[in-house]
Amino acid sequence: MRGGDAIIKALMDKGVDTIFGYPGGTVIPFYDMLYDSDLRHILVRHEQCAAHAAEGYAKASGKVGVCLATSGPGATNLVTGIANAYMDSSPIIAITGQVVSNLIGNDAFQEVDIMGITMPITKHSYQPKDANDIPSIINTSFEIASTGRNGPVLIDVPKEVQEQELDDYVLGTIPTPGYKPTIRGNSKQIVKAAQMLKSAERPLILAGGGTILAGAGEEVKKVSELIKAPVATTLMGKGIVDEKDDLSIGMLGMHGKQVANQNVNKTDCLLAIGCRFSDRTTGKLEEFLPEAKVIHIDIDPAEIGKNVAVDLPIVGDAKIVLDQLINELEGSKIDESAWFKSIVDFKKSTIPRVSYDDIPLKPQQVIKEIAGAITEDTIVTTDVGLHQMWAAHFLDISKPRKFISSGGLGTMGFGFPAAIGAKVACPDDAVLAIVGDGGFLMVSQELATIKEHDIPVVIAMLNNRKLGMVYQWQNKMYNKRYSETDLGNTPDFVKLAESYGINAEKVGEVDKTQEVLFKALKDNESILLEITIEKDEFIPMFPPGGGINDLLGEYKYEKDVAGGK
Amino acid sequence: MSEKSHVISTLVEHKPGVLQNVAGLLNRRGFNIDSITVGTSEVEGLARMVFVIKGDEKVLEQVIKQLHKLVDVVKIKDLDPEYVLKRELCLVKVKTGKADARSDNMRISSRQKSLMYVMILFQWRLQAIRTRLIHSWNCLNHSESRK
Repeated sequence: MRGGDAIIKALMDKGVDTIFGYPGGTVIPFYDMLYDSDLRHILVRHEQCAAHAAEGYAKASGKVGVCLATSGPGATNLVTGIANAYMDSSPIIAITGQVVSNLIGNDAFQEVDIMGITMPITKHSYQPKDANDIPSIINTSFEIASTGRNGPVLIDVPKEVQEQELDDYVLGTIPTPGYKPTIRGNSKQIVKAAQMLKSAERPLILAGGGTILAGAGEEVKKVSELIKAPVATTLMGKGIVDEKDDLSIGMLGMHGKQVANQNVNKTDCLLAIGCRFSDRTTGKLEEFLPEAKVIHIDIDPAEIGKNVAVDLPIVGDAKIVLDQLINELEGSKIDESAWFKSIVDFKKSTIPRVSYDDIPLKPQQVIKEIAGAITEDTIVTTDVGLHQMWAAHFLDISKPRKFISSGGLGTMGFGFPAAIGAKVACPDDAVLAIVGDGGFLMVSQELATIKEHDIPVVIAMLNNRKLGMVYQWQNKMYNKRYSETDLGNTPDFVKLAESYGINAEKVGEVDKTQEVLFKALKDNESILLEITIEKDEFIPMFPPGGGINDLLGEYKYEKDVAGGK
Repeated sequence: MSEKSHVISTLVEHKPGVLQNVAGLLNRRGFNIDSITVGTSEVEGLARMVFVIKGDEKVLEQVIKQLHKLVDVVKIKDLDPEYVLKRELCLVKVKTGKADARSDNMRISSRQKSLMYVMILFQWRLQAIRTRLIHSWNCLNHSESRK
């Protein structure tokens, strides 16, 4: 067995069924050995999409996603995807080829110091010098990527190591004396947290992406019911509790729901779980949580107290800490408070307006059509931009891991390849990628990937012929000076998709859009739906640098519609 | 909170790239390193890195927490100034006036004058003088010299 075989065997021993990759000079030995193996390989058309697909795979399934590229440009093309996975704490493993060891440092052809380049955006990285170490390095990389705060691990394999014969295949571990994530919460802190929550008059829960990574959906719901606290989420926490449920008040933040943004500052005790209080969530920190005691549960101690002052820190895995907390809370009777009722009423009276009959369609109406077409098991991925915030704001998600988006890094071009990864991970679930015309064009070549590998993905492309998010900022904050945000000269997307052999359709009518989407998702076939939308419809926001209660522009409520819908 | 110098002693895995990783982390998170020393430690396979970092308590807490996140960092200690004796060793090469036709004695005295000037400037104590190169060492309390 040679180094490349060892990579394949170790990956398969770790339960990997599929990897996403793109061949090149320094990984030819690996691909030669892959030729005889049972490991499924999805050939993407750009390495960046291999990393995004691996992340989509990881986010949809909870397993570790694997991507692979050659040295030099192949490796640097992975960088955006690795950075995205780092910011959103996704467990992926990126394997890159490297020039032969005796050329390293000589500026050899397609040589790049990818370990150095990715140092700030990986959790850890390895460069095996001896093929006998490969199984253990892969084993340890899985351990590091998927425990503690999840994150990407890079393995940079010199070409001759891939060809080196192993003495023995041993799936051991590489010692990591400095890596000891705290999993269980400190029991004294848990008791204190329970007391604080029991005595709180207006408790509120903020659930972030960490709750989804920990699989703590049941636990968040249970705690919320025990202490009668509404649950707000960050973008990454969307779906941790059923957003249709009374206890959910949706996404908090710059483009958050009114019920979340207008009430978060009223709480006297915030239970924040697995979130990092990003500037897009909190707004101006001086105006955030003026009177609340903050309990912060996170697996990464560095996140506690980083942005928001915390009264009670608990380091540990969200699911396990919440279980401990539930044990402590159970038995104590907390009555449904006036606070909880007021939130439920607030939610009912501030339902955002999504019903319009304008043509071209308003984006809110498009999200309404999408909501009517998906089930609670449909996996929705989004790209980055206005359409992402429309989806995050207006689309209710019922289950964890059903809303996959690029959060921290905000990577345009993420949505479509992530959908490919999600579909590969969960072939039985329908997958819908909501994208904009700008982001889709960055990765449209992946239409060839879904055609070749028969990966049915439904793409709903909201086309406003604008770089919408920047266009909105220019409209609201830069005197309508629309510098370089007009994408008027876009291709005929229907023809573009058809040239790849993918069905495509232009839709733009009320109710019809929903029908087409519903059929496409049900038929389990790839299709690109181009939905022309109104370009001057914007998403509610607080201004950058503003407080969570500020609102730029007007918020439209469903009750404003005559008769309501 | 006041800005203070903190001495942080870490044990890290002794392998390539670790110094880059640690220094890169401190740099990209905007922490201010006053000094850094690296060397092998008493434990095989581990190296000791000692930094002097300036910042308030919050900065110090973040530095330590962020360092802990690096897989290669095994142990971190914020050294309490109350219980720490700090020494710095400095080797100084002083440029003196050109040798001229005057006597050798005169030349030494001109060198001594330059050296005295440097010593007074830094409040140092003279340890040794060599004729061609003049070396001066001093042990001084680090925190006091910062005042």
